[in-house]
Amino acid sequence: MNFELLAEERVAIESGGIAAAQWSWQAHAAHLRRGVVKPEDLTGRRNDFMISHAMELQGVERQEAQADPKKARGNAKALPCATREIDRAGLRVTPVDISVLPPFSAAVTLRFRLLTPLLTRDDDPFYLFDNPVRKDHVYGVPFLAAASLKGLAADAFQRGFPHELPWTALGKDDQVRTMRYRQDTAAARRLFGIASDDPAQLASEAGRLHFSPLWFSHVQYLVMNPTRTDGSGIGTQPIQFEAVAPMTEKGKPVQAEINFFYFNPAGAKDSDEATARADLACFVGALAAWWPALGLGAKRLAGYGAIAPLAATCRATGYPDMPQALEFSEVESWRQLAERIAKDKA
Amino acid sequence: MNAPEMLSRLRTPQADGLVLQLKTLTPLYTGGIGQLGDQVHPSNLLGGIRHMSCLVARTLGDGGFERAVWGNAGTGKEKAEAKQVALRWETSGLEAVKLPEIVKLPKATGGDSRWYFNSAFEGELGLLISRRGISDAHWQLLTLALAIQIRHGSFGAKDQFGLGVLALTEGARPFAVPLNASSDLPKVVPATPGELNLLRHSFGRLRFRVAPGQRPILSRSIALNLALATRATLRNALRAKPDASDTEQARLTALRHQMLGKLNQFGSAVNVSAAYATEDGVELRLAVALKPDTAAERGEVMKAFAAAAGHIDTMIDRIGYRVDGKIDWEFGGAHLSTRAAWLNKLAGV
Repeated sequence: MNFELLAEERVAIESGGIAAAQWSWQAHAAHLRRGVVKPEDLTGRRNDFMISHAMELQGVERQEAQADPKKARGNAKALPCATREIDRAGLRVTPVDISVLPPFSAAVTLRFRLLTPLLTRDDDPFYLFDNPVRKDHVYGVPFLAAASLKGLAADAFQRGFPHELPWTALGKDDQVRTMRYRQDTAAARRLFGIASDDPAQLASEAGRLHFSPLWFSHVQYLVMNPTRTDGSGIGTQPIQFEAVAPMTEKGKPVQAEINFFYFNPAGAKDSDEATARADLACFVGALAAWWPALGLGAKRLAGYGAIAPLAATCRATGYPDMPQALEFSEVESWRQLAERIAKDKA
Repeated sequence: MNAPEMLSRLRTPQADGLVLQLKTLTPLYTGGIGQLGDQVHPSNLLGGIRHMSCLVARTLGDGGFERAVWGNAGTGKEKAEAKQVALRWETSGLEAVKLPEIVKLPKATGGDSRWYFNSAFEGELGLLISRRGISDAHWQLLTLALAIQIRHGSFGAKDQFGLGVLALTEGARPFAVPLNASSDLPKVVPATPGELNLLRHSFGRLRFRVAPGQRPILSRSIALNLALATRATLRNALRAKPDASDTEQARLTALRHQMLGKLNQFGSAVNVSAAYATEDGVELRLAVALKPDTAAERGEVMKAFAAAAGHIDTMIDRIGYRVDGKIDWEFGGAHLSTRAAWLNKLAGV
């Protein structure tokens, strides 16, 4: 959001050339935040925004609902983001030229349908809501960061190919457990690398997997009202969450695609075809098994960010049995791709 | 080891998780920003399962269950911990249904009581619970609690007003593993206002029969009317007699509000489901959290509720049903020395 825009009264902005009709819902959200100095001032502005943008009002006029927000009723509305603009700028799709990568490298695309709202967290202190979805700073298009995807992928792999010891026996917290798991599991170490805080004891290693951000197209709003813990049984203050919407404004299911590539460090230890093939097959297999069960994003273990596979594509280099891209579709496509990569023949 | 062999060692969530296929007996509602319940919100469903499993854990004397299984968000000096289970709801088998917008019943004090509904979901839904880092004992406890919730409780919001009763689909086998009823258990975790246990709960069932000369129709409207008439009767059961002293009037008003709810002060401690059809006829279920601190008041509540069934007919005679017998109560407080056996019975294992 442009800070100069935030500094102006809306009337002044519109008289300067930005017509009200051109205000996106994101610009309105940012502008409503302007001038708020106390948290309690936010409630009215949030209600104003929700009534104006986030629900399809039913049986009540907008002015009436704004005057008495308790009367606001309607379905949650999916708000479109500037995906066309970011595509025109060439920022959303970053194709990997597989021909320039070392032998037994591969680029994989996993397409899926989003089934439930997906939560991510942006660090935007000047936003209208406390829990904004993470968005691109220029176009405001929601995305899941590549680093987050890597973390989710590593979690799926750990669950799919568990350590011989129970997870909680690997250390005092998840950071220690993850480090121990990767040290003891050669494939995980190759795929995800090691991030060591103490180079004298253990050298850091880069992983072979490289992820792209996962882009989405629509946003919606959720409200959660945790129950008070005093036994009264009533709710605390409702908390609004911005979320990636699973449906478009026209009611169509939202689809998205995960892109990553496996960089095989030719000549390094464990860079032979069999190792690279097994790494990739097991990794895709773990994603196929666990991501549809666990979902993506925050609060996924509660059921947010649920996904269903739609298609899988793999372009590889150096494998004699994969001169062409491998392509599968439908709900079993991810698993089929994993099995095909593992098979070593067409 | 070659790639196919390695891939064959992949552990899947279904392998040691739990897969259930459920159906709605009464519509499922989980709220939303526009109050219409147009989406199923998983956090609402999770909250109910978490609540019931913690009640069961405290009944068995396991005070560490909640933190070990459900994690915590990390407040103050506490480090955040992730949940050790993951819930995935498959909702494609649900369809949105419109509920009667307002249900009105005559108030004991004159005028009408009104309940507001809008839309909810009916149909089938799947649940996959996958696990990691959870002990077998805690897993057993979690699945037992889920079985109890399916058989005696409810899911989602507005369940105090009839919604959210689920059942396993036909042919499903019991999934919970029974507790060893003869083993020594730790002491029950003492109940506090925010953390009760199941011994401070009662579960009830009430059957209805078609009134003479009436056709057996169980529309959503009638099903909700039966629930809300039952609920109103329970509320009336905690009203003081007209000649009671002011002190007694005030005491019973406070007790009634604590049990049946008061806007912005108390949530309801009593869930009354809408009526639903079973093989044996039409019934509804009740779940009561006995919040009062004193055993005398808890006993008073249950005594009043037990006698209430006799007064329901006067509120439902216009919709063609009659109460069939008394409310069949399972009172937790009677099972302190046989906790494990009672929980097994509630879970149907």
